[in-house]
Amino acid sequence: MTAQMTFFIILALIAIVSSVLVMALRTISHRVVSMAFSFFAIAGLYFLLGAEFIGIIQIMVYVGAITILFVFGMMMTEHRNIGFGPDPRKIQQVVSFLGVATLLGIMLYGIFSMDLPTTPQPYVGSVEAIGLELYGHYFIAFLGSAFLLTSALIGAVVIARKEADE
Amino acid sequence: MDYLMMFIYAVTVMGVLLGGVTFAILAERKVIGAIQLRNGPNRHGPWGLFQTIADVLKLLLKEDVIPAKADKPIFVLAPVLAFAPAFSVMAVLVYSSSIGGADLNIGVLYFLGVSSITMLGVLMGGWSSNNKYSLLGSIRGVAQMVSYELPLVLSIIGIIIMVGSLNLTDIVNYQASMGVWFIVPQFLGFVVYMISSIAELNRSPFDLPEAESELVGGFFTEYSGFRFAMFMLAEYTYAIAIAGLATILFLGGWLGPAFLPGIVWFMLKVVGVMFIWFWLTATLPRARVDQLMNFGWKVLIPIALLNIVITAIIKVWMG
Repeated sequence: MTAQMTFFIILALIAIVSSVLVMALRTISHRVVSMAFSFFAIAGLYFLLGAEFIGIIQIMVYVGAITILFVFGMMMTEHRNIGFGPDPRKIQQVVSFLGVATLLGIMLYGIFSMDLPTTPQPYVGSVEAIGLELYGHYFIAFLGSAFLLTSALIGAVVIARKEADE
Repeated sequence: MDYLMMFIYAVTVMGVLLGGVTFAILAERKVIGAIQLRNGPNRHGPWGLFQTIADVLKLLLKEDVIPAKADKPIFVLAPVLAFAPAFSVMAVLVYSSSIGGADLNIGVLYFLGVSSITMLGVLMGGWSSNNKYSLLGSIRGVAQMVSYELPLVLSIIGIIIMVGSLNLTDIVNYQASMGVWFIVPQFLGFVVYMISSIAELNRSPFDLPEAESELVGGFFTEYSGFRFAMFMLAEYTYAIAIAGLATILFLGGWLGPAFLPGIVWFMLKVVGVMFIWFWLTATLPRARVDQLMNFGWKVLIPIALLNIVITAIIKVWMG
């Protein structure tokens, strides 16, 4: 077993176990921490694949920003009395199981029928390559997402101001 | 074999760092003492050299107290979460042309990305203590760190535009070929970097998260013994790491006259940057929360953006 394989198994185990813990743990603060660990392990997987830039963005956006956002949400709201009610009804369990099983089936089908090149080129996802792609090929999509984010930001400011004025 | 070398390197860095943190704390107390016309610590060892060692020993021997109402697993995990990213950013720092960690082609980005996790430790520590001062301290801390991370990152972009690389070795080599350190062409960036790094490190005059006159001890009020020591260690490790990054980016890293080896120049520059912080700690009163936020969003970020625009124009103009 190569070292890369060992690290892959360790990181994959951390990612899966902490994702399961997000659902299984009782208190919301523990869930947030295990979510951060799951994101972190996935960033490690990106590093292992040579996609350093994507790995760092994963850490910055998911661990650094989204987890902090969740923790703020947790701190600002009443967290002790929140539960998901008693047991869900039988029909809900069956429907959710069917939905998840279908999703898993579709994803497995997609993964197994994927046409991967047999002699993999050692692709390095460098910042330069990604930048050239983003500002060359996908420039319109990039601008579109920029407009979307700006409008979301302005919308948030408008909503917050209205609340502050009252 | 490679992994063994990496392990040995990491342990060596850790050892040097522990010594560095020990004497950084002593130096801070000595410098502030000298500025305030006191002697500072002078009882343990010659010139008080063993003061911090005695302090650490005391902290390690203390009883480990966990408040009854605290969220125990998070409370225990928080100091580790605060320290781990502060130490892992050291992985990309280069100390001289031959001594250095990982030669990552996105070194700067790695440093900034991983350092953004330190907030999680602050937040979890403050929240899990179940204490109002801790909670207030951690909310202030995170608000401050989120706000000041932006100017910190923006102040570096000018350098990245000039060099055209995110690799720390490339940045130092570019300064060697340019013949002048980045502190001269990027002076605006340097000023913004220094100010926002103080806020990022929760140091005085921006030490609102641990303002002892209003919040007891801030986010680590409930911590004692070796967990408290761990938070202090994280804080000073992060300070040394940020001073190291400032040295590489703005002060030419290991460059200097040849009569001293590169690593000595590097360490002297780190000490110089840290001295400026200690100096400011002893000189300036603490800022108010609203002043801090206004200053960050309305002064530092526009200046950093202006710096980026000017640098980009000059870069395009010069070709």
